[in-house]
Amino acid sequence: MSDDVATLRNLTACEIAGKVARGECTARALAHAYLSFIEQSEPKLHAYLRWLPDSALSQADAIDRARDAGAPLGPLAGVPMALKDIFVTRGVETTCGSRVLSGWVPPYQGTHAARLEQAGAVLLGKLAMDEFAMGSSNENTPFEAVRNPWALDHVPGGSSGGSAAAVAARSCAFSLGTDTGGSIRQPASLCNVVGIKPTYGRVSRYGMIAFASSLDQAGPICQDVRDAARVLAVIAGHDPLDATSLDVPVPDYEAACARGCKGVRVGVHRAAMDLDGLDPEVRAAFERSLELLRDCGASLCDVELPHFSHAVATYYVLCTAEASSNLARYDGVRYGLRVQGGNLLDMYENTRAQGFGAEVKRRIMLGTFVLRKDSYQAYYGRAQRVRTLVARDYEAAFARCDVIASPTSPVPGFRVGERVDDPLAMYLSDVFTIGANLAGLPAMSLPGGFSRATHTRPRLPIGLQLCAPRLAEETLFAVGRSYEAATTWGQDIAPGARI
Amino acid sequence: MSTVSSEEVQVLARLARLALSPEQLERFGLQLARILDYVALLQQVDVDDVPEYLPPEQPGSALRRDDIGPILTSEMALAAAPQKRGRLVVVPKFKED
Amino acid sequence: MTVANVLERWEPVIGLEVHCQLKTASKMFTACGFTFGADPNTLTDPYTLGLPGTLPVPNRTAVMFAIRLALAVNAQIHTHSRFARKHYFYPDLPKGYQISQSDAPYATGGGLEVVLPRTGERTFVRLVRVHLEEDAGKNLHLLGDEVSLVDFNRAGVPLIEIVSEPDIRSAEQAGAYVRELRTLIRYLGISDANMEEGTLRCDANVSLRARGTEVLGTRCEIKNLNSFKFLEQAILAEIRRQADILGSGGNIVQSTLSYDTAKDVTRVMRSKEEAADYRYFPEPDLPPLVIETEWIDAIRDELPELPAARRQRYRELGLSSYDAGVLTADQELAEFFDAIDVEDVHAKKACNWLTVELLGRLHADERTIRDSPVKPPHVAEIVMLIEQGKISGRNAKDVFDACYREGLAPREIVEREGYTQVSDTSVLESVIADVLREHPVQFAQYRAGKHALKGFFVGHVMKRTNGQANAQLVQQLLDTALGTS
Repeated sequence: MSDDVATLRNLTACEIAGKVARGECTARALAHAYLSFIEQSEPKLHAYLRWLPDSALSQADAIDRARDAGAPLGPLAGVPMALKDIFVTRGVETTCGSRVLSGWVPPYQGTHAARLEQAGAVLLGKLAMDEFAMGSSNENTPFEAVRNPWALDHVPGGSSGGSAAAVAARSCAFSLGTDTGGSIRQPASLCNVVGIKPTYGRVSRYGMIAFASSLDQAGPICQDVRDAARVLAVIAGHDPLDATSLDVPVPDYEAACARGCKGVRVGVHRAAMDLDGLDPEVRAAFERSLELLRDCGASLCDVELPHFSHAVATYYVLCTAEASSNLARYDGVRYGLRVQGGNLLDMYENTRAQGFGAEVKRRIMLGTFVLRKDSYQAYYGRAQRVRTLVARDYEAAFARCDVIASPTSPVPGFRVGERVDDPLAMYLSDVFTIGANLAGLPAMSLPGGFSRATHTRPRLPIGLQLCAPRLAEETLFAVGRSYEAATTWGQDIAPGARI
Repeated sequence: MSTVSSEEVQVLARLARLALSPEQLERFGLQLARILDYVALLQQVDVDDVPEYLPPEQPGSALRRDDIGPILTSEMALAAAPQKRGRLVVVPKFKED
Repeated sequence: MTVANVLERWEPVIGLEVHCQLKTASKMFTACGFTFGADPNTLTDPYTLGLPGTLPVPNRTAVMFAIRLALAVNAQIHTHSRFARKHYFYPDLPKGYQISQSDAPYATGGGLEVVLPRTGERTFVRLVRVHLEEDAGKNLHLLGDEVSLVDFNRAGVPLIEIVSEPDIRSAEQAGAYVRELRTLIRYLGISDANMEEGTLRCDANVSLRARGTEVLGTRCEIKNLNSFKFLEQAILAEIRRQADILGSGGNIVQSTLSYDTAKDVTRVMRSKEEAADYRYFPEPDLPPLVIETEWIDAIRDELPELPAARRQRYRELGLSSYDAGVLTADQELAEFFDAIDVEDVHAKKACNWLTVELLGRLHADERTIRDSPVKPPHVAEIVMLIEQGKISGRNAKDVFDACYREGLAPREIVEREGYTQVSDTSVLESVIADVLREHPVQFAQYRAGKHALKGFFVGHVMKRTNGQANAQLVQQLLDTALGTS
């Protein structure tokens, strides 16, 4: 049997795991297929910061040996995957997309890499991202900007831009991203793949370089809902090394996929539909999606989110404050970049000035401002209280519905370079995703249609977002799978996958 | 309309240990002012009697037993240090505060 | 105005911040172990070095120790408290922030009664708060070196910070307060609390206040005081400095100072304008610290007898304030004393044997009570042998010496040496008669009125009996024989 590279790359993670387990395909053949494609596609895509042919092949070989020896295999055995470079991998350079960590080789393994390794997944490489996870376009980077496999002059979204682009281009079977204000969901939406941000605390944060501690969550970016369910089940669960991780059992997410949508109440925040800057095609695609959900057996209702228009402001006060704190450790003393010469103060100031990009610096300064003794109550303290109100809004809304549906992103994407000079405009593109982070709720983005190709804009993916109550990921998988089964958008392959 | 002067940006940059050029000071000043203006809409919200956000309470506050876990050898601990001497990390000379 | 003049009108107002390093096996927020004196950077782990992606997890035993301390000072323990980040850039601070407690410490209030040994004067020093935090690493600056060096072994070690109200009025009181705190901390078994080793550290806030007013003066903080001697000297030096300024009509500027031990002066390190803005906010990586009542009760039930209660008990046994203090200050000594099994009425005598005779010898040999060859039952025996008149006071010292040197029971020594006191009346009468007969001149002189000679006769009786005669009885019988009774 000679599966050619393209065929091997056209399998979902679950399909791969099945084939490997049944001996229909070797892990090595798979790893090789993906590695060849990475070589081919990377000059145009820039999704990877580094890939690891030797170690990937040797991991694959180990899986094959285990399979041949009849040893038990994990749920993702032989599946080639890649990790956003925010995840700490022992012995493999981890930069968080920043010059300040260029060349840093961690002496410890993060929980995510460890759990995936234990499940048998094969690490192909580390994926590009916006620096320190700050950005919505993967343009905040000292390295090459990642390209959207649907249109190479367009952004893939961010900050998990590399993670989404690689899955869309099938240069890995699945990836992990992180989501603080939408950084899994928005790129998933722009790249026509599935991404889920779990309930805060559902997945450990140990070994995930911190951006905003009270908002960050890791999650899978996958080809379909079932893959996302399997991957989430592997990485979720209590971690004694993370005091904020929830000590709650992990349900059978894959089983939840089969539950169907009948009787599910889908809430819609109508006021948001009148948002300035909501692309008409995105709006139209969303209305179509609502119809499809109804066809699947769901009922629709209106919900209110009274503090919706305050969410972005709340988010930017909180995340920048926490970021300014989390990034204080990058000082050139113990690891990473150090700019020598001069006295201690010079070392600190020059190291950080040269190590951090403009967006990171901007957020650090905003964060420093809002945490100052005189400003605390007016900014950080106040934002935390508005956050409580946002969380209460969702709680009230979920009394009337089981999921809240919305577009993931107000626009289907934009050109590389289009928004770099307007940070505020960039922040506003998180308007639909931010609420779930503030309230700590699980949310998923899945392929929800395409914009029409015109002479000003190519055909671009549009994402549907579903948000569920705390720890109700199963509802997302059930509704998501039903919706997915009723549509074909998710099966479209990006032009960039065929390079 | 808020303004954030170059001097104020300089104070923030010093607190955050960031060296900025005069041009950067000015640019960041304008950008920060614009963002602060936007963020000012939070002042309109009535937050009386609303507590600061906390995720739902978990029992036990995640305390761990006083067991000793793995440590790094000094070689591993210092492997990434930009400058070291023997087993100590080297930094530019400074006077103790 | 001289300093003395100033102090007639102004009184020193002192508050202390004491940091105590806890004796847990692992660090405050990570499972890395720590010991004193290890080679640099051999006690680190990813969290200790502030590596990207690491997270804090609080040490249950550290919290338990903290609860013990709060109970011992009668502070109010809060069911919910929060950790907070305190930001500043420093080479020995790996994360660029220290995890401490700010607005919501785990305990507030409480206090400690302090007795000045010299005068017996009692003061109650109230506490503002007690909180938990992690320590930083250590910076090293070698003379002539063109760089500075950093060791992260100590980074992350658990600390408790105890902040007092400014209830202290003198350097002496400050010393007594810290000593009392140290004794208490050692009793609780939560820390070695040794200033020389750095497991107990002290910062002093000093101001002068016009007598008769409530308005506090501007205070200055003296940092890095690492011995009792320097603590008291530094406070005195600062009082002098402030008195000088006020005396010449100046104003005190809020400052942070260090103490120059060689010149005996305090020196400004930084003034208020440069005071740090630590940008405190609640630690998002840690949920609120929950301390349930059941846990507090369980810990309270297991508290050992605390110093104040022990001192009280000793006073009730008849020991002087001073002796009660000496014993209490050293837990092992107090336990030794408690193990001396004699009735309460003999407690004071037992104490004297312990503090005067035994400690004296141990000290001369540079030994501690732990290494004492004399054991509590031995002390009990000596006390009772004297009490029962079986040996004389003079012989008792010899017995004690032998016991100390050889570790044998006093009973055995008495038997071996034949030290049994002679209390047999007829025997003594016979000896007295012999002495008087052999010294007729002195006998006659005594009879003629030279009563000072009585001691002469006593001396001879003692010599004749190898010092074993019961002195009291000899006096009595001699009186009879001399015809003076």
